[in-house]
Amino acid sequence: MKQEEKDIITAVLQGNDRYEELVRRYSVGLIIHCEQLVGDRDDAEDIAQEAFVKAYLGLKNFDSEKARFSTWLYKIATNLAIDFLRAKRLRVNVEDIETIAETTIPTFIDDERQVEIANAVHTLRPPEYGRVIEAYFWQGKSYQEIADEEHVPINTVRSRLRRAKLQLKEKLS
Amino acid sequence: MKPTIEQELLGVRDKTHANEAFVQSTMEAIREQNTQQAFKKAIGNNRARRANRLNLLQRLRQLPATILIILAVLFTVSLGGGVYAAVRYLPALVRITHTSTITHDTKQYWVPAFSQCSSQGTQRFDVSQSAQLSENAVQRLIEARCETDTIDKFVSQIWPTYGTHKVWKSGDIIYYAQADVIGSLQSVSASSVTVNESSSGTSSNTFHVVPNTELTAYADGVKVPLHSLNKNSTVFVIMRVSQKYVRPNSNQEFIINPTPSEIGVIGLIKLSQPLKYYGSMQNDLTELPPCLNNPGEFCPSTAQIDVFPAGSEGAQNPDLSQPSSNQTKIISGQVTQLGASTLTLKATSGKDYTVATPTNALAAYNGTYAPIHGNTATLQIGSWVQVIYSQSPHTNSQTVTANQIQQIALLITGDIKDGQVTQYQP
Repeated sequence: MKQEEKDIITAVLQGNDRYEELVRRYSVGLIIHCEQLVGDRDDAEDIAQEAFVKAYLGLKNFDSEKARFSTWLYKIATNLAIDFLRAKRLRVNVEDIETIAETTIPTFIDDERQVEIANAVHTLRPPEYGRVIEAYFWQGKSYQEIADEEHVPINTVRSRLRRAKLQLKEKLS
Repeated sequence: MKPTIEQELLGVRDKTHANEAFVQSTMEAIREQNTQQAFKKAIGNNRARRANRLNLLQRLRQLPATILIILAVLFTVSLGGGVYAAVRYLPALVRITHTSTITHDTKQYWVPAFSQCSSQGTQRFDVSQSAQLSENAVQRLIEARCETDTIDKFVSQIWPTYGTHKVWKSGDIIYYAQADVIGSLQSVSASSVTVNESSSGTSSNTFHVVPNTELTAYADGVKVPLHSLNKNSTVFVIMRVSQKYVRPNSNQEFIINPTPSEIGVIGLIKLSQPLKYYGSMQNDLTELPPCLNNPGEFCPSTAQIDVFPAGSEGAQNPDLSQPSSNQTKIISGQVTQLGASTLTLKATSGKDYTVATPTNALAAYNGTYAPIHGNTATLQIGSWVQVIYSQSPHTNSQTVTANQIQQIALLITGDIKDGQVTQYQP
């Protein structure tokens, strides 16, 4: 784990109000992660919020030498998502869920690759593809919010995002 | 492993930008949790000292939070085949849609289902056999329990907690709403409320309305004019309370001055049942919700005394050492074997669970801590206990080791007479 993140956790445990920095850092990814698991944005936001609260309450038991905060946070959220799906009496295959979960868990991207990805997003064509990627992955907006801003149906947002990701994969491969 | 495109995109984003509404509501939820933890701690510290009128609510506050009811939620109500939507500020009065009984181990349990309640027929209620209540009385007791439980959770939504500063600082005064008094309404005006707090009408109390605040009343799920509340209606009196909030620099724990100050009444909620069903008769009823992460087991929701760790609020088992992937599980049952460091309990399913504690923890409780609560608090064969422990979600072992235990508690009733507790017995 980065020293900066350890410092934030230590500060929070000492009583400083710095937990918001972690919420700000991981909220967008965690909501997307939960959305992939439960399939609904509102439910995903509820679960992500509960995960942040649980992580905060359990922070004193978290060992930053043994695990990354994000890994721990995402694990809490994944468990909450499984509980949520079970509570809705949906059949839950824990192995499937964990496979899906792995696709959005934060990972280290080196500087050179970051520039490459950012450039690829900005050169997507048509430009709506770049906008939908920025709005969804970087600004944390929901499909509905993007649809409202772009004045298009929500399914158009979904399909633009899907095609944008395909185009990006090709550009970056 | 090569990152996915989603991981790469998330890795590039500017980490300081986020969905502001989500960030703020999450931080608000965390502050609320801090408050609740601190309040629980303050309530726990004062448990034995509280007056009798609080016993019911203390017990209710220990019930698990099974649903979250959100202020101004749009309830969709199906009526006569049509579908209507209405904004409600409280859940409509709970109604039992059916009640069945089951017999287990020669003991009869009540299994109600509600039209508007947290239980939804998933838990049992155990009625004290010595109470000899009629079926109608049992149903009213259960309905009263559900109603007050629901309202208790709802109070902070209608009358939110706030502090001197938006982000609380040590030394701030925190203002919160508390549903503490249930009584028979004698009179109400814009400036005061008088209720009788006993069914016999001998204990009359007048509460003054918080200055510069409108006294609001709710009945049957909606806001109603004060004058619509009839004399002798059973009402929940909602008080605005203040407490000082302190967080010493060197301490991670929040401390709230244990003595709250009542500022005045801010609300009235009309209840559905006669007053007697909200009082000491509630002690004849014990809720048994499903035990957390132990399917098929039921855990009584009663008052408790910490057996291990004992003697200090917030103490932790020094031997607790479990991976974060483990689940917290709860089991409850009657002690059938007892040693200085081990006990065996028979759970509601009939299964035996063996629980080992750090060295002599049980003997230490009986020798040092139980006498504090009177000589009736001794852990013995026949006592009912609750054990909270950590275990892999993929395991159902009935053996709990010392390094898995989070808490062991002795179950007691809400009645404390002459400094003596009464142990819970179904």
